[in-house]
Amino acid sequence: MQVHNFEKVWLGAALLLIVGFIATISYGTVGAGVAMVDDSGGQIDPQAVQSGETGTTFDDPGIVKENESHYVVYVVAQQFQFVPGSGDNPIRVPANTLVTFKVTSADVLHGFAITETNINTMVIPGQVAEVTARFDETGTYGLVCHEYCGAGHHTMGGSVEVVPESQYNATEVTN
Amino acid sequence: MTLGRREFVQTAAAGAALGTVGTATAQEEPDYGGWFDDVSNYDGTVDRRGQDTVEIAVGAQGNNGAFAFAPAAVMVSPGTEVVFTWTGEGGGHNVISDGDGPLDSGELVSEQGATYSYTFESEGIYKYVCEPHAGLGMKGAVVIRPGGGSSGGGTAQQGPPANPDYGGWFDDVSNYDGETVDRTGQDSVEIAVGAQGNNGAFAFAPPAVRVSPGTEVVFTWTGDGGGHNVVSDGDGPLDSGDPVAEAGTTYSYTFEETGIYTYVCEPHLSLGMKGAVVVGGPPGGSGGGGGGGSQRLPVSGPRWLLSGSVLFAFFTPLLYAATMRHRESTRPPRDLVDEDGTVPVEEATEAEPAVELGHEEYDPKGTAALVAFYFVLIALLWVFMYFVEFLGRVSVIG
Repeated sequence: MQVHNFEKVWLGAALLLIVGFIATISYGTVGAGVAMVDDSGGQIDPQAVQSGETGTTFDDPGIVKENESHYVVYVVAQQFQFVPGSGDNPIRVPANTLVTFKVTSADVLHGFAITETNINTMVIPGQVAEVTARFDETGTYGLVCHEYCGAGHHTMGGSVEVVPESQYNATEVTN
Repeated sequence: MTLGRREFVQTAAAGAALGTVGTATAQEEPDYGGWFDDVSNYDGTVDRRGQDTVEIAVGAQGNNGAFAFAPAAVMVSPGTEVVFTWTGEGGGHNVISDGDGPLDSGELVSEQGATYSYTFESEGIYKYVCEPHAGLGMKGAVVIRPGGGSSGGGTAQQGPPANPDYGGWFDDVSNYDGETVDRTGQDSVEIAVGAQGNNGAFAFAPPAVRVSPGTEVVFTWTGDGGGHNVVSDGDGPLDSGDPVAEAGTTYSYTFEETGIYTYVCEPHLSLGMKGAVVVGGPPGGSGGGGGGGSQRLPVSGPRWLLSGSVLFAFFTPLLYAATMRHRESTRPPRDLVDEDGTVPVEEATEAEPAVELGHEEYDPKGTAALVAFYFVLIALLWVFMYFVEFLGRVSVIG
């Protein structure tokens, strides 16, 4: 089989491009530390979440301070709001600090996506979705449910306020 | 030809409004224009006129959860302070006027005992919703209308209008002919259960009946069509229990409150075994068959466009046939056609190649340039998408 020299060149370039793609994804995982959402959050009884009898922080969801550089936000998603997050109860977290969101549903399938970030997970009844992130920039981020959850799905949203570390005081922590 | 939904709704609402003008009195049920169609706990307008303060519960039971205002529709006098009181159930709620109205309780509140009040001065219908749960039917209305609390005269006039809006309830009911049978002024009204209809003995007869408040409605089983029961659609009062087949069985209920009570036979609901009792409203004879008949849908836009399209579609096969006939008639002249029916075609002579080239002697430079451009483009898009768009944003890191 005769292969023209030009064809040899662009076949080689195509292979190089594929190697490049794989290399960048490897860099994202190993170098930048991008992680996937897994089942590390564990399981929970959704009816207990609904009635507030889980015996966990989900009974009174809010922000828990693990230590100076790590806060955990417990969020219950239910038709059609995030508690905390929706309405007059935005999630307030400090910037440049590790923040873990533990989200679970009290009724049906929901979504938990923070706009303009890559924080995005399904919220499955019976499962605790766990995602950790660090916000570099202060400001207000939108919070949306992006899994159809019923007639009021389009109204289900909220906000995440990222405030400078210095302005974040422990009194805002609910637990 | 499209009939805009909005146009249709507007026209229909206008039609409904026109329909009630003739019988409207000060006491009559306000026309909410379908506002309460998806509100399960709406059961007529509660008259609280003459009180200084009227309370409305926010997060009352209804709409499949604690997603209701109670009472959903209330009539008060001008100058009344309406106090919305949160029950604390059903999550965060708020009270916001539909459209430009005055009500706005602000952000969502879920705390029990929270209140929001507003004093209405001018007459009118003030519709409002709870924003997160409006889709579930958490809607209400306050009607400001002068007049005392006593509604002595015109009891017969209260209640749904002459042609009640059943909201498509009877769409699949074969024995409903658009008429609400008027039985007002009688003490007892009988409805047959298992009457002929809906392809068998699966109907209520009459399916829609208007009675006066305080009338006892007796459902009488015909014994045909197997086991039937009578159960209110949604939260209503009717419930005859488990399906019964025996002829002569009766179940009765006395309707006191005005409103439209829809009900079904549970086993045969999917066949169209549905009915409605309209309590209150116009006195005997005012509506009649003429008004009750189904109205023709108003069609907006040029009528010729619709009829033209339909006609064109209908005659398309004929047009096709005519075209084919025309093509047949424009065959080549007889003297060009050979004995075997084909038309000889003269082929062009094959040209000798000007230059012969070997495999490596020609370089497709233009193609190479194009391929190179695509490679650069893909590489750039990759860099921007992965390193700028993806890694540049806050990422999940654990």
